[in-house]
Amino acid sequence: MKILVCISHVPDTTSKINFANGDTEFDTNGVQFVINPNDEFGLTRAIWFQEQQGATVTVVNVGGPETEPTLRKALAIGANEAIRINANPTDGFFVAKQLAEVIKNGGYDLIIAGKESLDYNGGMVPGMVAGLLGYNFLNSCVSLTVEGTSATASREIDGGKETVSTSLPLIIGGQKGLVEEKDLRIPNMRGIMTARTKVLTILEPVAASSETKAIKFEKPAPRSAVKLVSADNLDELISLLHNEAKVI
Amino acid sequence: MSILIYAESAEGKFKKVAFELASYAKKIAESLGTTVTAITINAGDVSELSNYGVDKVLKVNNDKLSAFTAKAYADAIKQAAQKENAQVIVLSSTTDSLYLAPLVSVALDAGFASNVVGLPVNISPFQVKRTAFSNKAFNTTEISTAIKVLSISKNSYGIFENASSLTQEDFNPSIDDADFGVKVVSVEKASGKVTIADADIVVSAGRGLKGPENWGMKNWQPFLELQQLVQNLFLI
Repeated sequence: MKILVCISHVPDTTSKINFANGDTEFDTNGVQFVINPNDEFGLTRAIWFQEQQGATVTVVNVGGPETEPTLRKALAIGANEAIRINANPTDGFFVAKQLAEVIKNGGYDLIIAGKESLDYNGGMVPGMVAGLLGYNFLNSCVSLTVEGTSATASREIDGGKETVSTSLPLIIGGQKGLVEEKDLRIPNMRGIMTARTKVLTILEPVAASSETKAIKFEKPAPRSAVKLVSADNLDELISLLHNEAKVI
Repeated sequence: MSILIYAESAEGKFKKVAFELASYAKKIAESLGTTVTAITINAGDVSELSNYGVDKVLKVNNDKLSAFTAKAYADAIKQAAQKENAQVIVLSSTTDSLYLAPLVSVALDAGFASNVVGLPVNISPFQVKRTAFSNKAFNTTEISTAIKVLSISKNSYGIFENASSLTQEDFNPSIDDADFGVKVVSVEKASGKVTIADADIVVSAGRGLKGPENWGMKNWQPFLELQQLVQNLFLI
């Protein structure tokens, strides 16, 4: 089984978010970048397929040279090889077009992407790739098993969980549940050393337009201070909820 | 040209988000001087949508669509958009709509903006405000394609009554067998309990607690009794 794991290079979840150039772009100064957490769950699941079912795992990213440390980390975790599509990811459709090309040419059986990246939170790339290629697609995937060319998977639904059967080739938008946080791998020294010699192929992008453009950013208004009300002063609580918060 | 919404239903009844989408779409339609069409899939009585500004309903009743199948539903929405010459397709942020939205977007060559939190900032060029960076920021996104797909964040706009005279039409989109490559085997869902998406009141005791049993109280039974009494109350 050939698996492709799509990796987004995103700010660490604890990063302070600031914007530059008149709030038109994300300010990367001092920001630590990591593998997108939803992608990392998928990567770990792919490594399990590699260890238990002999799958090969390729990781792919659309981005400039600055994203290579993130791909090398994925290699250190255990991916067999990496591909970097040398382009600025201008929007979800552009990224999906690039990934679709790699998938078409690489003959992958299973494509795992995070259901959304934690920077732009578009939540569209796996679905768009599936739409472009006509492959089977499952979003919000929280468990996945593969036997031959058949797959059984679960997805999160509002208020519960749904189990489905499908077949390869398959694209999933994964999230926590594919593996748990305790299962995530921290690269060890051997993995880091091995990753240095693994193949990282750089591909030039195919021609594709962008359909959307982020033109401006702003931060939410700061939260007001919490008001603590004495437990024996229900009149004040009710007054605040009614007159100030206007929720009752 | 009209604004198209997908009015989601469960067990024949509309979800709360359907009315929010209708309210949102009506406001855009008014500014564009056009109408709101809703596509419904195996919904029961659709007349309720007229309370929120929907002018026309395309009713799909098809046993093959009794279980949610993203590709097939996206196909039906695409065909409805083409039939109505819709330039803006408004979807919700339920897990089902977020699943099918990118498929609709690709099928219609339409730019897609998710997590939209308000009416368009501008109509020409078409710009919307959305959340980004895990709600740490807002982002204004411009969609440059002729057809636009928006998914609206839950409870970000609100529900506003706006009576309209509704026309109903049976709609039979052609659904390809290839759309059913993913088959539902089973669904586990808490029955008789409102989901957080449909709740009118949410009582939370902090992040990650999941329910009153973890609130650190000796007796949380009264909250469960309250939940039985108050409709659409969600405890987390």
